Amino acid sequence: MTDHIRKLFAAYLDGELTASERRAVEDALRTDLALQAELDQLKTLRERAINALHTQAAEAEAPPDAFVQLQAKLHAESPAHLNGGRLHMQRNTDNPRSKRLPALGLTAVAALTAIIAAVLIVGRATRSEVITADAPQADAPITEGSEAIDPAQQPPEAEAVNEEDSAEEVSLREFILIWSYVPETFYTQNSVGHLTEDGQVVNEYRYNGNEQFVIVTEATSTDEPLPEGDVLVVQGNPATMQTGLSGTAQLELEHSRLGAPDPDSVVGGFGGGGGGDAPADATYPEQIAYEDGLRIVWDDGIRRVDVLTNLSTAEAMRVIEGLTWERTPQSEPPFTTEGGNAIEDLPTVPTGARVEVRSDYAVRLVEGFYHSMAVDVWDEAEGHISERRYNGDEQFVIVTRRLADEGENTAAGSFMVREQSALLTEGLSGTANITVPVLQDGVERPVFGMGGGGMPTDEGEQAHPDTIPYEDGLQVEWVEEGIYWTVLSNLPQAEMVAFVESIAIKPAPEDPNATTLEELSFDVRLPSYVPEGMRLLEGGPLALGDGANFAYFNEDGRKISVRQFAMDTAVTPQGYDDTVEIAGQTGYVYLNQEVTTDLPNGSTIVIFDGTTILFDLQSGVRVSMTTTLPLEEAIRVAASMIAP
Amino acid sequence: MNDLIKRCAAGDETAFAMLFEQTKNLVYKTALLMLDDPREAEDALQEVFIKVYRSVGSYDPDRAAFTTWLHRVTVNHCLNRHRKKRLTLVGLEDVTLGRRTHAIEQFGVDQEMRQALNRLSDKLRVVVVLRYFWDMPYAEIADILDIPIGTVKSRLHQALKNLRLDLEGVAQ
Repeated sequence: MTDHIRKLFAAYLDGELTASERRAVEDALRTDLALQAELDQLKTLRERAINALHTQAAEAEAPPDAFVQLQAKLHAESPAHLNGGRLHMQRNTDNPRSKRLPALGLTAVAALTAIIAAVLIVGRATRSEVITADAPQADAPITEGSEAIDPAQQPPEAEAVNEEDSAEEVSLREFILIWSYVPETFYTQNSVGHLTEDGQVVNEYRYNGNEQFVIVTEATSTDEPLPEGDVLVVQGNPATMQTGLSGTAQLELEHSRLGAPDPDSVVGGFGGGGGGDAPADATYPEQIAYEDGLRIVWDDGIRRVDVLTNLSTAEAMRVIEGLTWERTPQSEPPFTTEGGNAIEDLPTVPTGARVEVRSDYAVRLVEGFYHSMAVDVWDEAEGHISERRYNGDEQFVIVTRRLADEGENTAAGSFMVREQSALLTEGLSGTANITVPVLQDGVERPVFGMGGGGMPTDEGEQAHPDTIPYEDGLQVEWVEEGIYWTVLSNLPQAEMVAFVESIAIKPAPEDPNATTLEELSFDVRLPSYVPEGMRLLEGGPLALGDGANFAYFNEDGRKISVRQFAMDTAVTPQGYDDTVEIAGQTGYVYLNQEVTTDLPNGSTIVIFDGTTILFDLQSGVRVSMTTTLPLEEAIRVAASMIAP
Repeated sequence: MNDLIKRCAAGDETAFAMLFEQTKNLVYKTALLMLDDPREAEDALQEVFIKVYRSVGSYDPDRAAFTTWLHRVTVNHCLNRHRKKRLTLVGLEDVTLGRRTHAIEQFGVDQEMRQALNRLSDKLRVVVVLRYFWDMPYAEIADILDIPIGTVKSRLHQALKNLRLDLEGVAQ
């Protein structure tokens, strides 16, 4: 009977049993504690398997040039199939939003795709070999009716003019082009925006010495057909690609970046010659003759993007898939940053903590900022929690949030944060106090782990007051989910917007497995030793899932946070920094852990150089103890749980 | 989706490109979890979509959702690939060593569990991936694998049992 019940466990955990099967399992569990323990172990194992699978694949994505490769294979493997009409361009007549793709002669398709196939699949074949075999000459027009592209003539002005009649008038000046990927040998940070006189076209150039280049030309979106070429998908949009182009790329550099044309201004940082760091102030009109150019054009409904490059197809696709546009804050329409960039979870307040403002949110890390150098603090005077991040002593972001008053909003603002009307204030000046004071009875207390200027050190606890004078500060205020948010920063506008948009309020964690201490499969053990002055957090151990949590703290923000839980103790912890001996057992040490402490006065301290130790209380019961105590003290506390 | 598929079946390459874009990660992620090798997963992505391209006309929306059909094509491809791979490798030791070497290069993954998952037999691993990664109902898994729901239950039970024994170091 028990075996039969066991066999139902997996489906029971998945909620896939019939009603009668479920009753049978639950009846058995009520009368057989050993069986319940087995189920708990299985549940832990199942969750571990789920986590492992998700860690492995959740972020994995198909390579950006996958479709190009697929096309190449389809054509290479079955040209006869192609001629049979199976794979051909077809005008789309039933979807008005789809860009119309021009019909293309099958011979030209075959020639084009043969080139791609040869380049991508027969990687060792030289280009000349491929062309000699079955493709047009490299410097000849590749597709019927198409011409080699002269970047100096791009893009056609007519497209920009026509766009004035379109339903959606969006100025390209509202956007900044972000290059998420450039080849290693390219100059980084040295793209140049060139706003043409009609204000509708932006060019960005990058190049590596005088050998390789990428020219991205943008015009406003149009319903005009895409140029003839091989069909592919770029950033979810239909695109066409032409290969084997030849010409001379004109790399004009004497324009200000993303501003009004300024003939007198020059953009430094571009050099002719070799790769590596570009000369500091050099400005060179540059010409690059190319013979195997690649042109890819797509339209995302806001802009028509025309990319000309002499990079390899695969490399070009990586660059192209990495192009993103961020709207500048002056823009009016709302926009979202779905998916966002690297999302870093911020400290969350543990269950039972006293907070008046939810802190369960996450924001994007700003590149160059200290990783995880965020601090939450309850300001008694202002009644809000601030979170501050900074990058050395140059840049900062201060996020302040408080409960919004009933009916309070920032409707007067024309700026949008997600769906909320927001108020944007520009040109602020002042001094940002990056000191993180925790006021307790009028006494300022330090927060540990923050470094002022330069990178934080590992030399233990430090408190560095720091101030940052700023003259071009931005502030965004909005109300969302009952919270009044204020973000102050001296980041560039695009970065600021991306940061604000990336703030994601997470749903409050559910606790479907809440139980009572009596229902746990083991007896919770408190330590018989804790340092003087530390006291158990009010409420004592709190049952949560298959374990219990409790914490000790003192008035200085020192903390011992403990979770004891049932699990298969034969499983060795992973990824630890060190091991220690605790009452004859092995303890696995994880350094630089985040510790959040809510003090009785309402202050919240987050410390980033805490230590977590995993050890076993007994067979089947593991302990995770995170603390700001010195390691020796932590070991002593841990040992007093194992052997009181 | 059905409109897109109809257009694909009619030879509309733009529609095929859009279909690829919408479903490529479904295929890639499943292949990655089944094959545990990004390069092989990329190959599988290509091969699966070549099959889709050739056989999308045979897809019947009345019989299954397209994603179910696509999962079926994907897992069948991965299972066949594993079978072929086994035939070409000399011994189990090579497979195990190869996998372990690769696994160590990955950061932030529960390597022990990942290796244990890799050591599951194909028929167990596939139900684990479909259920625990894609969160599919048993009925859909049964449909994809063309097995009874009871077999899905027993395979998941067996998979968890094998994982436990593997992690406990018990020879199976």
